[in-house]
Amino acid sequence: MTMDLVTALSEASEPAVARDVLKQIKNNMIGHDMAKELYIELRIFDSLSTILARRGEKGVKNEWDEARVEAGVVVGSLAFGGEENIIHLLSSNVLLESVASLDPETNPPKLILASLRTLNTMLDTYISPSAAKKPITEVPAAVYTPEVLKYFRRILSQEQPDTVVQQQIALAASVFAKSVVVEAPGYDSCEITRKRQQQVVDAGILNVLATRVASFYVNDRKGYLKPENMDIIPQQSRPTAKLAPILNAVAAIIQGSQLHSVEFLFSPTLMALFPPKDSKSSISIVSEGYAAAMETYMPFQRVSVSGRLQAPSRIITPSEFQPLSAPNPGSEFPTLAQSQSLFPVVGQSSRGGLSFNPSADDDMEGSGEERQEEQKEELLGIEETEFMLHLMSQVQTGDAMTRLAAANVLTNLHQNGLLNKMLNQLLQLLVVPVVVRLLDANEPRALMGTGGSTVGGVDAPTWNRWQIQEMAPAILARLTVDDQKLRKVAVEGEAIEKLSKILAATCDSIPADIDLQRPSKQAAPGYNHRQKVKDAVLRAIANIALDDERFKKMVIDKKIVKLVRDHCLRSLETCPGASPFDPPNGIKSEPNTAPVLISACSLIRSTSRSIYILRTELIDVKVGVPVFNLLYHPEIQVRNAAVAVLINLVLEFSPMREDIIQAGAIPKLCELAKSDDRTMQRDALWAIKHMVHKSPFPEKDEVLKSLGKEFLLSLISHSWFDDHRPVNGDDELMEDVDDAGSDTPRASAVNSSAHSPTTATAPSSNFPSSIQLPPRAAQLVAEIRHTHVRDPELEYRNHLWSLQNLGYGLLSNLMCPTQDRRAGASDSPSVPPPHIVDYVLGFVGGSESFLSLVAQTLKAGAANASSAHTAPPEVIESAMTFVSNYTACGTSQHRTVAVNNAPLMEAMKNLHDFDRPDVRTQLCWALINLISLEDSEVGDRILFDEIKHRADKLNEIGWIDILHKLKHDGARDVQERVKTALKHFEEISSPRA
Amino acid sequence: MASQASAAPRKGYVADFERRVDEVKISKSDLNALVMNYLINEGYQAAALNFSKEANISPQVSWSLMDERIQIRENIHKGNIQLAIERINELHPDILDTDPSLHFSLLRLQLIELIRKCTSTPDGDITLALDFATAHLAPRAAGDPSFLEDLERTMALLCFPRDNLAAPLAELMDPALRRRIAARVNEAILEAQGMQKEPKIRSLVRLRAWSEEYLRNEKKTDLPELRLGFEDEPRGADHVMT
Repeated sequence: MTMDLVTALSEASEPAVARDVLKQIKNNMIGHDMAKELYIELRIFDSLSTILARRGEKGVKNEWDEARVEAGVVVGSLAFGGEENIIHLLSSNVLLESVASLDPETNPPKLILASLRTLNTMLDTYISPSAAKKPITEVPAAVYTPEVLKYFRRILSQEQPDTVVQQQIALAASVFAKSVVVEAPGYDSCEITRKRQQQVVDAGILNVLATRVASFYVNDRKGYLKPENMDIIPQQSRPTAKLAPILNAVAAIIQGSQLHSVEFLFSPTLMALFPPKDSKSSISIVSEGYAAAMETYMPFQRVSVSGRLQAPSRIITPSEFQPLSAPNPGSEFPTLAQSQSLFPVVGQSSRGGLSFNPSADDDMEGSGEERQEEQKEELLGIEETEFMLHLMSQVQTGDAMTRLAAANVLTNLHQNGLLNKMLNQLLQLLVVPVVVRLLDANEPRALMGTGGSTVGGVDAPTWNRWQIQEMAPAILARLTVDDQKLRKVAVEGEAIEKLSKILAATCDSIPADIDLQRPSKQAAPGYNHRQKVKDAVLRAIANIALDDERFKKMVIDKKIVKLVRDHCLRSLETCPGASPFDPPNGIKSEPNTAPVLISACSLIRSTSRSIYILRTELIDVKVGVPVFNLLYHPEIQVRNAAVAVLINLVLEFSPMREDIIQAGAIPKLCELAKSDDRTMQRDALWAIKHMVHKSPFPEKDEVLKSLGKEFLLSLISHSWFDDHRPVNGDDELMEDVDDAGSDTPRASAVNSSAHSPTTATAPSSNFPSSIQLPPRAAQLVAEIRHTHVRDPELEYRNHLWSLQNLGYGLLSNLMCPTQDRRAGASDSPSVPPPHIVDYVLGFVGGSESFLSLVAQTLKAGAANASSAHTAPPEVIESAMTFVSNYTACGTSQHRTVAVNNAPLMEAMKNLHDFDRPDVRTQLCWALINLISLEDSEVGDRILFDEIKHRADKLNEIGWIDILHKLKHDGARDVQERVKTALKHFEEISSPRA
Repeated sequence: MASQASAAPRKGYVADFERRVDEVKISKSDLNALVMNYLINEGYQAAALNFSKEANISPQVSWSLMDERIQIRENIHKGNIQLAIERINELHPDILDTDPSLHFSLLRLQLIELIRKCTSTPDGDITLALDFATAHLAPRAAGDPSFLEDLERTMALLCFPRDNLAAPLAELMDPALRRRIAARVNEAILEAQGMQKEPKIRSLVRLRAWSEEYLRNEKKTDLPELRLGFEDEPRGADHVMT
């Protein structure tokens, strides 16, 4: 019978025949997975795409429309059949024909509804990572074209009260909510997200969505509307209209973009519905400009000739819009010992070996951070408009989906720095507690609002509950990025307890009969849901526990790290080369998708920022090797996340270091350091730098040989700056900037450390140039546009500087005394092998030539260096630290080589008035090391003569005069070091010496 | 509102409480909206139309969609399950694809109707029922233990005489099963149309029952017993108006 129907369909030349056959097929296959498989085997998609392609023309009745509606419904039903069906669908023309059938002007409403539902189902269905074609790429490729976006704008602009139309609107908005932000690994997610956001805004969809949002508040605002704005005010929304999908679409479009946030908040209808409080200072928009804009972007809306923008004085102080990429002290994610000198120089022993005092530094950073935070709030915050307050109150009332959607928008506005101090306080008081409460998503009111989309086999109430369980922790994760106050509020609401319970319940809820390597069609939606919950929960915990030692302890007390070790580090994808995952006996753990692995790494990284935890819980649950194994994962983002954890796990005082090295960390990290990915290059070098600190000679030797002379020299050499300029394609591949879509502090740190602006091109605003914005608002938009302009060459240069910075740190640590753990548990550092400096520098070409390279770097820090070659202060500091370490670790001959290196001495002299006190301090340490005599060396006449010779030489160069000048330096540390240096000079010059 | 002092609350308190209840002024338009919501939700189309005229309100509802919903319910009440399924697929094709449990319940009901038909005469042919069970129910029951149990119980109807069924089997032949499944279908359609799946008045009654219980048990208030005036009114939130 099935075959007969398919044959009849392919042969149907009359619309009525085709319609009747399709109705039979529909009733046969709905809810019947085996029937669907059979129809697909019989190549039903070919006939369906032929029928869908029989589109009519505007205003002309198409006799095929009824059959097309049935075909659309059949396609939707097939999509409900799961992964295999969707993969077949993607291989046919049906997707393109469905998308082409979205124009409300030429297609029946039911067909549009069916097509939209199919798109949503495809985006919601779990597709295994190994699939060749995936909806997350194929659907956007079909949707994000000017023509199709125009259809979407028309759908969203419809005003008919029909339930079908309202469902279309909800589903159309859901398509954007699900597809604008790209989170899947394996893609340049930030760049693609930005591009899609811009396309959507350019198509006028953000404005239409803003109007939709406004329509939900028309009745509430009736008493406040101004007569001149009445034409622009939309009708009150229908009872069956849903706010949640609209708000989620808005949240996706404004995520990570100040410009789009401003465009949304200043959209004409929202401004007309929620006029600024101070009407006297508000500026009317030039009527023609607005009318033109409305005609262009909202042809279905009644166009007003006047509108109002918020009073410029109350909007934002324009020039203070920080670029997205601006270094944000709050988002800095320093690794343990990041800014510490890992090796004490001669005379510095009082500091006690590895100088690590996070609390002291944190305190200092904290106070500055707080000041800057306050300043930022003052500068960026938008005045609390009635609309913002309505959004806040929306979080308090209504069904759970709508509350979360409102929180989603507010979270993005907060992340974009657009909430002022009062709104931020309201966020703490009103929003975070609600989001935390919604983590227990079992309340009955949670069952409305997603726009009726789900996947096959999952009923709407279950699907809605799942959505809330996935969304609430995901929003909490974004809310707590870089905001300690919000983290504190979340913890006070018992977020860690709740999240740990959810994680435990999710890990324990694996069905008994599930195929752990490849979930069946029936099990796939549940598996996908568990993965999304795990991902969001792990991200939330990682962000909450990032800085505060008490929160980290709470995480440990709840045994979360153990859960992560047992259930969240096993990869779904095979990792060739990695040792097999080894779950403890009796624990059933299902494999995890890349986002879960990344989030698990973030959580371990958060906890590993505590020395106490690093030396207790993390070693107890043995996370080291499972994390190391993720370095073999096929997705670069997973490898990046794993390396970021290893940076801490291989620190000298980490008990896991030995295990990780024995698992093969040295060759693997050295290989990764040479990869094309910038984040990987940097983090792998960072991990290697930590790994070689006080490591035994054979390990250092292995590192040197694995990295190779050429690579090490290329890190330091300035020839990179001239020879390796990015070419276009290359650069695009290597892009690793932007925070769009990012919700981990890690990403922020990447951005800030790269000093890089963020967007690919200056994004256009959806305010056409014909619109005359109020001057300060226009200035604001221009400002944001300007800060969004990306300079790839500058980004590349900054990346090279950061590599150079790490290169000096690595070489410093390679030269430091070794500690032979294998030889036998010696607690005190053994005497450095006399040849280590010779060995290391000999490997890279010898002391003299290498010091000339260092001199070149130091010269780049001088005020008169050409702007293209001006090194960042961090690089100068690390180069200067290298010199000071070289003079400390080296022998008398090495010190003499340094003193005789004229370019080095000249470059050092030029740094005596360098802005950064740490550089001046290191300068003094280097001088002290050059002329000081170790206790063991006292009485050695030859050595003394050499020191005297060096002191005389330094005096000749003019260092004593410089030291006298530095006696009155502003930094106390510098003053002390100057005193010591002068004392040494005096001692050596005195006749008694 | 009548009160009966079951726990013998103080007289003065009761009077005070009743006075306060009387003092609460409820907006007539709110009450009308509540009634209209109930009529629409439960599918009383004629009553809803009459009430809208009497109360002079114009509910924002699609009468045609409501009509479809009523037709589906009536089909189920009459045991015309195949037609009901086809109508559901016409109205909301996603419902049965996404709710396997509801789909199975409908198919099982269809099987019960077939069994009813073939067992109504002493020499009735059960082949049709067996074929239907084999084609539509068995594949689904194979993957779900609860479906399998339901199917086995339904097939047991073929083994016993219709007029001498044990209680669990008699339930299956009871028209109440049709009503229960029709109510589930009604809820699913409402949900798919973006409407609340239960009338607002039912939520309010639940809220009232919860508040009463809370005040009485948690706050230890001498609250007089509150009755809504339903005959044989069951106690407890879950039983009110179901």
